[in-house]
Amino acid sequence: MSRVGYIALNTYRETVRDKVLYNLVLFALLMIASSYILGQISVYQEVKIIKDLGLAAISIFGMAIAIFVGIGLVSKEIDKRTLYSLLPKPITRVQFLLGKYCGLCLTVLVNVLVMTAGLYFLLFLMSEPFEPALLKAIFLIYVKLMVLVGVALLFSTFTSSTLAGVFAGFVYVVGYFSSDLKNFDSVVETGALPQITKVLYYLLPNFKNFDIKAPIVAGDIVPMTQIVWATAYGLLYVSLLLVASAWVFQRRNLK
Amino acid sequence: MKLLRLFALMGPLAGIFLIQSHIDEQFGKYRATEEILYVENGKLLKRAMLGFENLGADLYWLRTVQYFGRKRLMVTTKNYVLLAPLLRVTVDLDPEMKIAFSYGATFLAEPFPMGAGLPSKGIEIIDEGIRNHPGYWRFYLDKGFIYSEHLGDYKKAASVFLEGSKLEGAPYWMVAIAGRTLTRGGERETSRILWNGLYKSAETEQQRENAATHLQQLDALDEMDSYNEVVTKYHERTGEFPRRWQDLIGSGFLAEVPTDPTDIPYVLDPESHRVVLRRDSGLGGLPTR
Amino acid sequence: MSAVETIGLTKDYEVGSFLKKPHRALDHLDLEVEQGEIFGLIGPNGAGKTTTLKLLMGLVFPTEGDARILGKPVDDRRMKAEIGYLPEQPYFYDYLTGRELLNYFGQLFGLSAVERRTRTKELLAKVGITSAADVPLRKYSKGMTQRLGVAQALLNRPKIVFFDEPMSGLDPVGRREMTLLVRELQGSGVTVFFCSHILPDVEQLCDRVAILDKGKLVAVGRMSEILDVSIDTIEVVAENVEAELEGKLRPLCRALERVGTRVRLSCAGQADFDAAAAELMQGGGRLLSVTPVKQTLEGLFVRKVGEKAQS
Repeated sequence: MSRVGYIALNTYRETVRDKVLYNLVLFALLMIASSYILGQISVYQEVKIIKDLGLAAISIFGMAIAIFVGIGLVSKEIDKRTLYSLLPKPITRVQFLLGKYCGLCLTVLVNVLVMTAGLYFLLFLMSEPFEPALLKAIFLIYVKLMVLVGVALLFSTFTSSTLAGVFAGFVYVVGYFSSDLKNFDSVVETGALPQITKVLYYLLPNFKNFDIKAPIVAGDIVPMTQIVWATAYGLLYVSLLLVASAWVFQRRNLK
Repeated sequence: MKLLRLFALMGPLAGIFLIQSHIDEQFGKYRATEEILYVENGKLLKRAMLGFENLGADLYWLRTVQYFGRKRLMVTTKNYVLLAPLLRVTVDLDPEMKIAFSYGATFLAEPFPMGAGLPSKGIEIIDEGIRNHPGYWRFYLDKGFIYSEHLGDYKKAASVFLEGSKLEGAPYWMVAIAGRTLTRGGERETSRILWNGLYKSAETEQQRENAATHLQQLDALDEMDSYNEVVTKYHERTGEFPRRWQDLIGSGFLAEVPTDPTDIPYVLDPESHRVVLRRDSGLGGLPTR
Repeated sequence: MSAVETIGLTKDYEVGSFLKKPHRALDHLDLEVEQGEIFGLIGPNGAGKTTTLKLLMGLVFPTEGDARILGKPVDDRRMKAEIGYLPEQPYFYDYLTGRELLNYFGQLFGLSAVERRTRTKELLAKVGITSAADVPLRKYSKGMTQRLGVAQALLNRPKIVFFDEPMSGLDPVGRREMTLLVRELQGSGVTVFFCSHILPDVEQLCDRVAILDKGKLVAVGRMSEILDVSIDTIEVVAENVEAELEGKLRPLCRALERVGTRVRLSCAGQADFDAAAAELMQGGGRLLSVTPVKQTLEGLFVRKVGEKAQS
């Protein structure tokens, strides 16, 4: 197995042994369970609410894990000086970054799978037929989380954990509304502003690309091509983030 | 080495730009806003917003204006499916946003391609506005307007105008409009007065432009009437119908090729022998009076 | 080929949050360490010892100059597979057990599963923490962590080991074990490069030594060369020394101290002693004891650093 793989596994092991993670997953499962209660309140809408809340829980808690753990990926190793005994080993700094990234993505994947299982189990208890369409939405949520982990990693390479968290959260919010930036030229005709917002639109991660919760829960068909393109976008954006992270980290002097 | 690094950064950036453009093109420019179609209940959304409803209303208003856009008046091939839900949610989130009611009334009721062509939805929204702001005269102007110009119900329009004219802040000409609509609703001159009123009191640039376009349409109708008379005179004189403008100019009936208020030449329709607007004129969708 | 070589190695740091002033932590260090020798790097706090090691390990990047290990640049991966490093006050992943950590590092060294198992067992026994092998690192004491640090530095049977303060956190027994280990390593042909505060240890172990102060190399050479025997000190204790006599004795000694009724003198070398002894006899003082003191590294150190401070 490659060095990256070993580092990834070790990173995964670290998160698994961290109590914070369990609390988050517990909360997520609780949220999914509580959607059942909420569902009972709304007539004829129980299933829809469970699906809505379930997907939202997977998204929110996946995000929480991605950011809370992601921001410490590098900064924590520097602060705690664990990196000092690691880098002199026969690995490159890039392998280290890749390993940390893949390790956290693995953690997030496992958590998403656990939450997905919880959601399907609840639907099963409601005697709902198995609906594979939900998996499409969950898949894109996971791609979104992969991008978010990359964002957290990038900030982790050059700021402290707290700042990285703030920045990452900020990027998420902005990325969520970036599609509103795009059409500014419909409102403001001249001047530099629409040009700037257009550039920002393409530069910032457009998280709306990955959001198909609404049509899926409503039962609409989302074409496979849309999912493929959104995934391609996500993977390409991840590679951009990794390249940037490597660029920053390779010149970093450890205190 | 530096070059390789730069390329490693620029490569993905270029790819991202291309893919995003492709996604936007393939799946719709306003694809991200389409979630609004799934919002069945604006009131529920309001509760979910946890105190940020006004911000949410601002956002949806922004999206409405973007979606409907300033350039939209001249565009022919768009559908306005998202307009009604966007407006609906905006006013659900913030009923204080009077402008959204007014805007909604105007452009929901406007026939395609200038608007969504849903006058009943326009009435719905303006009624909601009136419910929230019963003393606001503007909404009565907007409402009466829909009845008069888009639904052809002059009696109802007149009574709405009358009601509104009694409210505080109502312009002095609103009573006159009420009267005129009752007696001579449907006449071109009445429309002209109405549109003028709207032009003067318009709140957004778009509504003002819309009113101006309608006034131009009325002017065009007048012009076309007079040019049709010229065509008739030619026919009486020569026993034939003119086939091109040159026929009329050469025989001294006209000095030059006539153009509509947007400076696009009129067209002589060879079959009906009437003067019509050119297809690409921005004044398409003329009222039929 | 030398084991370690630095050529004009310089490191500047920017200090201060607003007006960044450069602080030169290491100033054009030229050093060469031969293969198979035990080499000590000493100096006061802030002298640049740890900076030198960090530069060699690729943890920080030089402002100027170059460093080579086994002839290769410091980021060469194959070279890194031949070296071991023990950082100062090491910290390892506290959620792993000792065994897991060694196994993980073994994976990074590219050792096979069998090799990892064997080496782990060997090394845990060698450094004496077998009983704590399956205890999470967060429960380890300072001494245990230090021992584990030594173990992980030797996992790959390195050609060169770099120790930063290897004795810190060890009790006297541990320090003795460490000394034996270093000798053993040298016996197997391993080059040992270490930084230390504890000068007696350095004096005991090292073949060659370099003294750093404020980033500059102040002295370097074999122990026997550096400690010039001709400058031995002779300690004298005498009594009945009146003020007048004291005045005459002072210029002949390096140091003169009054302790109660007695006076202690430090004379630099035989000649000075002879003169002082004569003076003492004549002045009515009484010699109580005469002790030749071999030059220590500590003495040299204090002197050299003191000299630098004065100049």
